[in-house]
Amino acid sequence: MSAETTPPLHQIERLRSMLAETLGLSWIDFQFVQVPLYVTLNDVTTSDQVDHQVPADYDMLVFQIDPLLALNELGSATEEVQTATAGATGLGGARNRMLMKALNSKITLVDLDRKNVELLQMTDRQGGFDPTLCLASLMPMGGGGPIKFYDDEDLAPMILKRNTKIQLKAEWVQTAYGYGDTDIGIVLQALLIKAVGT
Amino acid sequence: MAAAQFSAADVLPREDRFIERLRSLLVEGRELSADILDARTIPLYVSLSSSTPAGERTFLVPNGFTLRLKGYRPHIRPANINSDTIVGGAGVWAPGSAYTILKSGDLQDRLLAYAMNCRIGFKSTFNELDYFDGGVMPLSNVGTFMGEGAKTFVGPNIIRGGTLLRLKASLKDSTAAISAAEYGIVLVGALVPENLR
Repeated sequence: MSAETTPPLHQIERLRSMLAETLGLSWIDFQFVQVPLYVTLNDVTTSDQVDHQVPADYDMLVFQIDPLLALNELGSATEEVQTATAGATGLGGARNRMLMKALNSKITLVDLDRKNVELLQMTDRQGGFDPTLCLASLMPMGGGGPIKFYDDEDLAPMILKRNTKIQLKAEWVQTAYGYGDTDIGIVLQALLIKAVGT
Repeated sequence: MAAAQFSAADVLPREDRFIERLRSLLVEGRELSADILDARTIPLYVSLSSSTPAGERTFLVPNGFTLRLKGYRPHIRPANINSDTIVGGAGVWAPGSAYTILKSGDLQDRLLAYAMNCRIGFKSTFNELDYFDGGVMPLSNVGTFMGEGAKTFVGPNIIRGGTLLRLKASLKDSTAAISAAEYGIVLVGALVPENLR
């Protein structure tokens, strides 16, 4: 492509062409991806974790973190049943059940290769409280929204190097409310870029 | 003909700014390292109830690093989701019955009631300026309950290492029969070593 050629208008094509010219990489060396990290919890399995490894030849730049929550046993006669009682077991409606679980959640994401350093909820280790993420903070329904590490003026992604192993852990704050199987976790919006020397 | 070059004097459209910043990031940090530029979230919240209506939490920015603080999200997490005041009483509306705002509506309504009842202040010890200049912000204004909400600063706040960030949270109506919950914010930003610009 000559210098006089107008780059393609599509943002991704422009990104790839500019980065390729600068870094000497091919357009196939970039990939925007979404990484769903979640576990299935219920009344019995109240805590679980899942591991994920960044591809061997690519570094990952995480630009945004979205919530993930899905109720799995909608048709079961014994799960997600509303009864005319007080409290969580009496709460009906899909949005109510979804928000209830989001408010009742603890989420952590750690880097297993860096001595389990917290990727979310960094603290200065003074202690005194539970620094886990509440999923409702990432949901407009819960008053929050996706965590963005960029906007028009600023760009500061979370960087995960090639081969890095990360682990998501999710658990309920309170249990035994008649929860059916629920997928709960986060989605990473990221850019994979070919690592140097590969 | 020389290749087109972006410069600081250029007024770039939105997509080009994003692309240019990404390019400079990747060029400068070609060996991408989390030790150079690393985005993080930082929790600042306290547990409040009608018996403990106020509290504060601090975060010490580590020495040797600069925190580029861009935004924050609300944090409200009930200590016991089964508690009557957040999830609501039994049954459905009964004609002639009266319900307080804390016990009426869907769960999203009740969560909004919790948010409206909390006031937060956020301050830096470096310059003693309040990030909510003039005092306190209703937590309901931080989140998307009120449209977009005031959850992003227009530009990144640069906070030097050794600075103590302090969040204060209190219940506006501490006499309301309200169960224990965590209230506060989750900061969104990036840590950069001080020897890098």
